[in-house]
Amino acid sequence: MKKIAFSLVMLISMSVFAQQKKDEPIMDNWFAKKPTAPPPASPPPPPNVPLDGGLVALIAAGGAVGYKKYKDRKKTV
Amino acid sequence: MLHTIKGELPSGFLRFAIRFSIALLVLLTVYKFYLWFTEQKEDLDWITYQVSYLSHRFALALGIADCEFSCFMDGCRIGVEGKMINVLEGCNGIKLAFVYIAYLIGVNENNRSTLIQSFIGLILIQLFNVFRIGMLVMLIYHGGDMYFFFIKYIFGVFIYGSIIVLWLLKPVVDRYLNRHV
Repeated sequence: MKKIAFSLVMLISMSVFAQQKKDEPIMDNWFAKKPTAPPPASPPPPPNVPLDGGLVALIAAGGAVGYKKYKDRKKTV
Repeated sequence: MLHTIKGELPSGFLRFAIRFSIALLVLLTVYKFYLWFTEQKEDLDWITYQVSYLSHRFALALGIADCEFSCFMDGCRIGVEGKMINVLEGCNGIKLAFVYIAYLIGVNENNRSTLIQSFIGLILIQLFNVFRIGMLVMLIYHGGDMYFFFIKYIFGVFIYGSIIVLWLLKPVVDRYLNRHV
């Protein structure tokens, strides 16, 4: 009886290891944490509405307007 | 070399350029300090909050009844759920007003006129900004490409163009203020 039980256990274990691929973890990681579904993507943040994007251009325009003002004054004097 | 440059520039321009630069630098530094101070308090700056709050009120007046308004440390969100816009510090238009005021200080010929024009310019720029954000909330609510068209071209061209026109018209405004105020 003992011999039969031993040979049965051997047979089962052999068949399990025979089906296993070379790099596959033993028993297919039965007790490992299974990967869960990724969380749903959060909605994109609302768009910004900036106004100071052309600040440098405005400063340059201020300089140009000032230059024109003083140049015109020079002509009239 | 400086002497040569000075000789080629129209008289008074160098004085204007220095005053313009210093005025802008002082205004921006004070503002940066104010922002740093509010950040330390873990608060949103008062200007951004007020612009956002008034824009929300304007959006409600435009007929967007379910328009929501919520503020965080970095800015406010206005609009209908899923179709909101984010009003950050860079959206409050105060830096534009500073450039406008710095120019007036640069060409300052009359303290009273400069003060009146600075005050009116500041109020007008802020009012336009409230109008702009309110309109953007409405445009994003109704959907379509108009929102992108308006934010990218119309409002920018209008506000920057208006400031330049106000600078060019300054002598006329000065004459009017001297006569009537």
